[in-house]
Amino acid sequence: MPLSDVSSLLPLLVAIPLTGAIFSVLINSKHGQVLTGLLAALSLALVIGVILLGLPSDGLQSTAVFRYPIAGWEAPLGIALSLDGFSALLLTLTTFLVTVLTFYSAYYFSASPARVRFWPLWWLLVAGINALFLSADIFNVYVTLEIIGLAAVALVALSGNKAGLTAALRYLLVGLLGSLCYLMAVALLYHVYGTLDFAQLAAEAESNPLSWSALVLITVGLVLKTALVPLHFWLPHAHGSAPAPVSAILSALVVKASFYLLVRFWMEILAPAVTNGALILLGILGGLAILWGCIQALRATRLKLMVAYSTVAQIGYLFLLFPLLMSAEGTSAAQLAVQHQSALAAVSYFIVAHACAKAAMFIAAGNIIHSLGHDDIAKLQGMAKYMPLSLFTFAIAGGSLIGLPPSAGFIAKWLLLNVAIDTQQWWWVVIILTGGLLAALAIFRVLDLAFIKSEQASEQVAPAHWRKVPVAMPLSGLALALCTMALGFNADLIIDLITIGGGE
Amino acid sequence: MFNNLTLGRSAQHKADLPVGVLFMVALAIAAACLFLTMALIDFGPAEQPLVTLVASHLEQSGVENPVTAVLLNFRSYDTLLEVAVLLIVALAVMPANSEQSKVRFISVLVPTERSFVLEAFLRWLLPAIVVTSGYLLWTGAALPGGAFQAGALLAGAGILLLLAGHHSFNFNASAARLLLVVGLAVFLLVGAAVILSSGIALAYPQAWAGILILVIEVAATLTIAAILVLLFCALQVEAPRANYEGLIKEERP
Repeated sequence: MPLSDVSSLLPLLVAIPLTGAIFSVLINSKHGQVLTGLLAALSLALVIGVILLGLPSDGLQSTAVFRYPIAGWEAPLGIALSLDGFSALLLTLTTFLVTVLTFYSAYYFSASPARVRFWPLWWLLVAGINALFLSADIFNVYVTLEIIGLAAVALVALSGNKAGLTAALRYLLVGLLGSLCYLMAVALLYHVYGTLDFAQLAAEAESNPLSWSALVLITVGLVLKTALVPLHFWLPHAHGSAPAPVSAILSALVVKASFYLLVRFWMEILAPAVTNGALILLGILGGLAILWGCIQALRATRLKLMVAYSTVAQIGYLFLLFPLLMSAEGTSAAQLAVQHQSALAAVSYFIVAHACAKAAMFIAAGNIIHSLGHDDIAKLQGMAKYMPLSLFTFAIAGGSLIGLPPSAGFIAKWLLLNVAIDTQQWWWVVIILTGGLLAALAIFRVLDLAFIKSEQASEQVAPAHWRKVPVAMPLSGLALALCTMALGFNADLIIDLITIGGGE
Repeated sequence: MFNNLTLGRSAQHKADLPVGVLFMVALAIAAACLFLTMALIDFGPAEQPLVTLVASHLEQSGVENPVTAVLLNFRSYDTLLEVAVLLIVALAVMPANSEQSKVRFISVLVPTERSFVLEAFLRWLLPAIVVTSGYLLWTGAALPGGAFQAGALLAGAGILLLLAGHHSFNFNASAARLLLVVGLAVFLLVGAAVILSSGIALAYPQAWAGILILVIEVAATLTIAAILVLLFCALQVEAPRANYEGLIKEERP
């Protein structure tokens, strides 16, 4: 059967990281693994580049979704990969972050014995994330969730200390519970509709008690994995005690993967079963998450814990998507489609902005730990003198998280506010602005200590246990932070990409 | 790696929720289960179109067992990813010691405690297990069986060998690492190679489907057996090798 050029490249996005994993198990010398990593990252970047070039440029007209029937069997017998604007955006984001973080990890793990296991697990995790964004089959999604969950747990446990292992074990149990809820929903959907394919389910789905049950189970399972308040209890410790590149990818991509699925289920696959009340409930939880995450970030005493709590808050913003999808009385289908489109664009923009900023922050925090051997916020006083680059990175990324112009975070919040006002839900505006204010308090608390207050004790003496980091480590963080700025000026790129394939 | 983790009593107590909250959660779950059961009873039995679909395509799959056809042909992509899941598990429990990669995979040692009954028994049992595992693998094409069953059986042989105490395995050796990835590697290679003939990844040419599935399954059996033995080794409370301590000392760089 004829396949367009773009479609035939899709399996490569999974095959390349898997090959990278195999080679980094086989060749476990230091340079071998780094070389494998860089090659895999480069080829991924190449493939995604070709795919992006092959996508139709006239965004609004094309509703093309690229499909690739693996093994040549069409759904419902086989599994298909599919690509539309939303997944293309997330795949591009994944490739970009993975490339930068691979570069960073090459330095971060250069002296650590954990390196031997880090690289294969890293590539397996990437394979899982890519496979999830490409999948068009709800059972296949379960398998990719397993890959992501188990690889993430193993990576968190690489830190090897007791806190890390405890967090990893809790993460494992939470992940398993989430996966099982999801699996049960898959069984229900298969029982009712007799197919596992996204598009076929979306065509057949109707509003009946079993669809509701499936949607509830999927939502509980995935919300657990996305760490929305009140099911966020595992996230701060897991993200706060993992090695820096792992924390970065967990916060930037892994929680987004399960959020991506939620969006797919709520907006497409089970859209008929969605009610306004349920949408509002998710929105309220999102609002709570923003406030609670910010308050906890303010109270945190460790830098990485603070960054992890800020992830909890940022996840809250993502869930504001759902109430903005509500249909008011008397809106036509076309108006509703436009409203969905702009809400999704705002949230996708938010995902990208947060991913870059949060990865940059975790890299900065990782460098600080690498240099000082701790990340106690109180002891960071006056440290800007010793680690200007890392703290500068932290400041820029923080600016994006707060939503200061001209960062990507500002544009993301601006888009979100626009949709909220358009749909006459002004109360979300209050929450978004309060969240920004609280985030600013948390970030400026650190910056104030590090930059403005002079060092407590004697001057000109480097702190104890001081280690210099290779300059490439702060530079990769800085590159990500600057990206959040660059994205602020090129918002239309992302918004155009989202409209491909409708996202509907 | 979780062997080293023992939660203190205080840590366990801290995690406890108040009784009221637990009660509410239990009530909510019970209500949800009740609702689900009622909904399922209301819905009644469903037709399963996929069962007939699989049956009608069975001839093109290269095997006669519908389960194997689904696992290794119709939905082979799922199985490929499952093999990757197994590799993750292996990596998660693998003792990380790159210095040991020079040590041979299987080394012979003098057991501290000999069990003559087990040794004599194993002389008969091990070849039988290997043959049976091969049979299970082969028969998977037509009857229940296949890579997972064969691999589990083979792993049983490995564990018995370990228990006899004459051998020890070092999973950091390059031969062992090859065993751990061979299943995934062969699966990927076959999946990529068939693009040459059919143009689509993992779409076997019909004439070759049976033999290609067998090749994939042989490799998967080896990997599954190796990973299960590795799990057994890693989860032993008293590690056979002395420098197991290396794991705990892995602090952040």
